Amino acid sequence: MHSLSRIALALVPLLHLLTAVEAAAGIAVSPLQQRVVVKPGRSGEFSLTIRNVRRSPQDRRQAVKVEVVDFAVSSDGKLSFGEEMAHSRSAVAWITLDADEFVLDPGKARTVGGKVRAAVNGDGDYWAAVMVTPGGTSRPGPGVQVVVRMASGVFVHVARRNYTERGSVIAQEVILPQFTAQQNPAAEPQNEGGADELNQALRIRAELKNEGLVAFVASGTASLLLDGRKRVASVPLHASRSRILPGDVRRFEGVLATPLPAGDYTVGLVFQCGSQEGRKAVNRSELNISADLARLWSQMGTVQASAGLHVEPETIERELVPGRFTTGSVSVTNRGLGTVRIRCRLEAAEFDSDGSGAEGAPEGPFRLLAPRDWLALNPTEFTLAPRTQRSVLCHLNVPRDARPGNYSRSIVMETESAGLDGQQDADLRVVPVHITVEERM
Amino acid sequence: MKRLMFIVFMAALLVPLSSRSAFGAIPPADPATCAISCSVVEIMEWAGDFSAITLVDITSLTDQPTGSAARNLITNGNCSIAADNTATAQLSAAAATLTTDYGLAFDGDGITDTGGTTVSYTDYSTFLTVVGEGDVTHVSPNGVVQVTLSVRASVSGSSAPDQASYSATQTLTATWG
Repeated sequence: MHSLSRIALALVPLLHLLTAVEAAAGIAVSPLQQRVVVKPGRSGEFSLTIRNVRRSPQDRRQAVKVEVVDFAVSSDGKLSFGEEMAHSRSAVAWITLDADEFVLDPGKARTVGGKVRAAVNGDGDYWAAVMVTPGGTSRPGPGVQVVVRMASGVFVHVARRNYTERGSVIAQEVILPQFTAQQNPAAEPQNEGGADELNQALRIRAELKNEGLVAFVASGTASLLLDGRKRVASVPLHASRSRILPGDVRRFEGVLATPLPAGDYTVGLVFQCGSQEGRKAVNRSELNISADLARLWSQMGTVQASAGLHVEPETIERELVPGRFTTGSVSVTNRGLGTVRIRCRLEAAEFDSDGSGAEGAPEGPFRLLAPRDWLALNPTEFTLAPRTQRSVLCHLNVPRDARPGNYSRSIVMETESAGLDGQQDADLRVVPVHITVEERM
Repeated sequence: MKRLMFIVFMAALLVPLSSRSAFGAIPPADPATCAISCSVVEIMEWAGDFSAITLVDITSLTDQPTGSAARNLITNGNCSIAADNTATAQLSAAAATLTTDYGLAFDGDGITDTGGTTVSYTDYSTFLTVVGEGDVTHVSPNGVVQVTLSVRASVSGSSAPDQASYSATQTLTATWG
């Protein structure tokens, strides 16, 4: 064996770039996404705020480079940027920025204006990203340089006509539960690394393609019908990024941890593509659960429990003056092994978890019902993969003419867990939102 | 005399009424207040500097020097980190290359605190390409997550690579969630 000569490796400090400017505090970008609606052949505007955040007296001037780049979304929802991601619905050529490279002093911000001029034959949705790179152009050097940057999405809607969201299921597969050889001597040897708990669940995968001209948010459910007739189970389908751009394909997966009886099943997929007016995308496939598998699954499998869903906090409390805008958030954690769909809505304050109005007077000070337009939820519907968490933002906007007092509304979350029909818990979680509107000075 | 005393008396009455009297009490405060409000929209920021990282020299075929650097990502919403999976991110010197693996860690798990799932060492070409990797879940009210990028170098194949100074550039892009 040859003895190796020394190979020097070094990682240099991050945030390189422009010789005239040294690395500094932080570069903040806002907003992260925006939508511009234009008519064909017409222009629209947007802006991006970039700030050199001052955190210490040692913070220095920071060079910033901004440019419009293409991006693509993979079937798994991963974003990739660059010229090689150019596509037929790129908005890069339509967008001009009023700045490309500038220097920001600590504590200073700059609003970069953008103009979108849609093509005359534009029709539907197009997209691009504004890439903000602190420090400007990177310099090559020894070792490993680490570049950080931020991307802000610009989504252009060319409103030529009314659009209908259209999607189609282009692939579907079912992955049967797998158990170790010790558990099932007839089973194939497990892959290196062993089977994790998800391998002991039924997984349904589907690929949904956006066949239309506008983006939509998709939600899907897989139904299992025994002998093609009687529905015995339903499984919500999850994707990392449920908003699908025109021409894109997105992979969804549903996980059913509850053991199924032996038999022949039909797996029916139904996707809602966007609004209620959007068309549904459907597909079917066949599935057989053998007696051996059903027996093993029943012995080794894990039963999905609704207690696997954790919601916090129990209550949102805010004290505001009229004209104030703020947000609260509710964290929803799926601790179980199956996928779970959550639908959120706002209801009157006296709303009990069993779906009825609360009996008697609520605890605490008397509270008026907060007007519905004071609050908004985002998102209102989502699906959680096993062992994942998501926050629901509650935007609270108290109008300037609001009267001081105590107000209340409830965030109601309906959950639909993967499981057997009749055994699933129609779980309802309620998070009260208490708002104290103080005197305006 | 009486006239003079009357004048002095009237002056004494009028002085306290003057807000600028040198002999009267300091005028009461007249506070003026205004309500200030501002809205906070989605924000994302790479803050601070990655500290310098030095990997020890490779002196044998089995050496696998590692190094890491951390930086704060500030966000008030869910976001995601994408990596460069092109050859730019692989340690190379002219035509010679080294096996280059990257890892990512957060100081929060994305469930109890803002953060995400730790990514084990992965080849540069597939780093952060798996579903869920690089995703940062914001857990209110914590808007700061420390992101640690790790690098591991090793020899490709069974022959000694060229003696040289190897370099690479890894680009981490923070995006909307």
